Amino acid sequence: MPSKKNLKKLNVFCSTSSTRLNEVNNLLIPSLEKQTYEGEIHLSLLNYEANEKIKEEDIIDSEKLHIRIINPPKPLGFGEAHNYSFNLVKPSKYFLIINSDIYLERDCIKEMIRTFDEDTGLIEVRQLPFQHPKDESHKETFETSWASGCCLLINVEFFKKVGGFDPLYWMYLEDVDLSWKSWINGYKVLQNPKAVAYHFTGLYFRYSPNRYYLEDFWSLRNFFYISYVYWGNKGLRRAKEIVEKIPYYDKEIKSEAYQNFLDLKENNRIKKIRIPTNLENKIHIHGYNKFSKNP
Amino acid sequence: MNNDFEIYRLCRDSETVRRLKKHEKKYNLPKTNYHTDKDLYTFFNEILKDCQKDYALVCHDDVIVPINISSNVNMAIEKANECFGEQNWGILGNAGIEAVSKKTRTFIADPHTSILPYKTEIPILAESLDGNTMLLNIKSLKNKNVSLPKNLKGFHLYDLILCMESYKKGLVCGISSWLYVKHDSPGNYEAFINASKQRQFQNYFKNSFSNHLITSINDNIQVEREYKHLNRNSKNLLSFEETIQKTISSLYKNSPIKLNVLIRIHTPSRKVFRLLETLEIFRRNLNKNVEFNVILGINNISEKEISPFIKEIKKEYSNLMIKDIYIKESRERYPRVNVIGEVIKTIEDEDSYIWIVDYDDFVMPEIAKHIQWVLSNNDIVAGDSYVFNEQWDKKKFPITSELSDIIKSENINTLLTGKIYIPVCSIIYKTKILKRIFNENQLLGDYYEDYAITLLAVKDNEYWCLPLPFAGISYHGGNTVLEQDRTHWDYSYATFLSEIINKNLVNKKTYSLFNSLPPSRDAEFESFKKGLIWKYLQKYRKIKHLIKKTI
Repeated sequence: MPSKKNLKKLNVFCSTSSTRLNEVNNLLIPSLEKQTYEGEIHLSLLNYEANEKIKEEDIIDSEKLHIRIINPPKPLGFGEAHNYSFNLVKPSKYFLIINSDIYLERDCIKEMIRTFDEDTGLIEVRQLPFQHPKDESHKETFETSWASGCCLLINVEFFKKVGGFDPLYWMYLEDVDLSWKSWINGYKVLQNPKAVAYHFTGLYFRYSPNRYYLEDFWSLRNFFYISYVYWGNKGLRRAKEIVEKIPYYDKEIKSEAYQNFLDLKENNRIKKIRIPTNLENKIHIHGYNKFSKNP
Repeated sequence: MNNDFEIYRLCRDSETVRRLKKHEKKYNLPKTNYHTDKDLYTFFNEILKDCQKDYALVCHDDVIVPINISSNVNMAIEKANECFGEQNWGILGNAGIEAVSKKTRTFIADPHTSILPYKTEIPILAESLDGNTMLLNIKSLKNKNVSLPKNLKGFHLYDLILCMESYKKGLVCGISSWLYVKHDSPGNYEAFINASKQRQFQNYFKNSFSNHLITSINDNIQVEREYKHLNRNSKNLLSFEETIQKTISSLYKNSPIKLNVLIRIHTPSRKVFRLLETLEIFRRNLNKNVEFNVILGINNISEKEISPFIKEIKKEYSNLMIKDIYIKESRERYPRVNVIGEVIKTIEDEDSYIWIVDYDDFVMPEIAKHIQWVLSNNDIVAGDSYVFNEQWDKKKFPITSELSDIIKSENINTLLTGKIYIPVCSIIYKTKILKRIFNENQLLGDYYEDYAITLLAVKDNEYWCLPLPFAGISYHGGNTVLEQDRTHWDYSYATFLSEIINKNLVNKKTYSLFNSLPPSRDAEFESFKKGLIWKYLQKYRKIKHLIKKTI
């Protein structure tokens, strides 16, 4: 474990909306307030929907946090939103991105920062109750193939080097892409198992499939996109084969997601990324969907 | 009380009108208004505008109503008024999609339905209804200016859209068993699908809600959208589900609910911190009118031994206002049962609710948003539980935690077949039910007390299976479920099951029904696995594997 640093200010970016302020006020702010981390926390709340401005009076008073509200002029995707906050706030050394429905265990931030060093690109928390069923992080080095963007400490130098999140993802899998870029650019991706955050995401509670239609659509579309970026046409063919075998999506959503990817490909110059051979064990796809077994 | 209502039917031709008029006379049915030559949108809007009665029962022309429809309609109205309040509901039906759970619920005889439904005391909150029979609360619909959009025409989707309009204006819809009818038509699925793709309906859905997919009793409807927007469009629309949730929540927001979480704890284990963390999140999601108490039922350990630990958790979770109760004579009636019995004696309010959660399990805070309306009309509610295989050290959270199973709330129904697989934290009870159980029963034994309590509770009370996440269950090396010595489990099992049988918890009809059902596939497969074919298959697989390995 790297040595303890004494850094005094932490910028936290949360991409949220005027309809999610309950989460911000009831979960996010109280959980940031109770952190044992001793430095100052500067929370930037960015309104990704940009349709109804978030006002100061919408947010609860906090004695411990410095809160800034950002209302961009147009709706932004997940990665775009964090890029926007980053360019505006200009954090130094590292910054934390977090979802508004996250509740941090009180030592969480302290633990994340304790793990940070200059060779590290990303540090993710361990999510409870649903741990990501991906490759487990290495028991001693804490290295992991990719880190979830729901609560992630990001190295500023690395973020600048790769130009931030790829905005073409809009939402979902941009965190996987950023993680792989981290490895490719010589930065580690770590999961600190002692940094725990509670994330009761709705995705596991699939009692009503239509609630997650949007999520399913973007996950599928970006599965094609990421497969193409890293493995070209061969990867795309494989992605298509895998998606065809997924039993719980109907044909329509699969073909719409694929069509949307083709439109994206036609209208943008997609930069393909070559995977160095020594990273093939880190950058790989087992199958579709981190939440279910491979088809 | 006789409510003032009229029946309306839009008929396909005059011959149908003639036939139905004949039936009306013959069976002395209530006054019916017959119409032809208009579409259903115009028809409903005319009823909503012109009906002078308090209620209108609108039926398809191929619906056969019971001869006693008048008294049934009266009962449906009475129950809906009792449950929702007269001015708060818009439409009742006999089939539709249940709110939140999205289950299809039908009280109807039609070509799709083969099973007789059970009667529900109160109407089921519905997301949308089937149009075969709709009881309109004319007064409240008029009050709130509910009508079908003037630009829509045709014979499809009017039922779904009327429910949508009703929810938009803050009126709930319900499915009532009192509106049971026979419907001769299976519906026209193709026509429904084609209609759902029409521009007029697509525009309506697009401009009314943020949904990409809408559930209806016929099928899901896909809404064409520009994807490069997140959940909302420029109008900041809510989804249909959010609109429903908002209406339901505002209906029940002033209903006071008291919920007590009872944590059974017998050791100063740090595992309880995870539970308290989730209870804190749960508390933060509650409406202000929900009084929330956390009670620690401490058993099998001396006060001296555990009190420093209790002080620590009370200090760290001061927002939860934790109350500690030490159970002195834990062994008298077995600790796990006894702690429940002793704690409920201290709860005075019989109308409050109890949720029993063991210290190493946890709650799912999602349910907090729904708890007020979920508990308002129900004395027993079962939810889903998520099972995690975990490893712990002495920390406040597990080293590893892997989701291994989801125990569905519906498992409560299989208790009577002897399949006991529903954990205690999956069920919330009204206190008076538990008080009665503990007063009337000795509850000898332990470890199976959860099931015994549930069986005793559902014997005389309605219960509701809600497919929402209630709790997380931890399977780890140290908990009772994984204990090696099962003797005490066996004795408890034998005791509880003998009690269940001798208390007539399984009635004859239920027993005969289960006996008459064909054996389950699992059982068939298990017996197949004992046979020769299976043995040879296994041998063949092993040989094949060996050959592969050698090559």
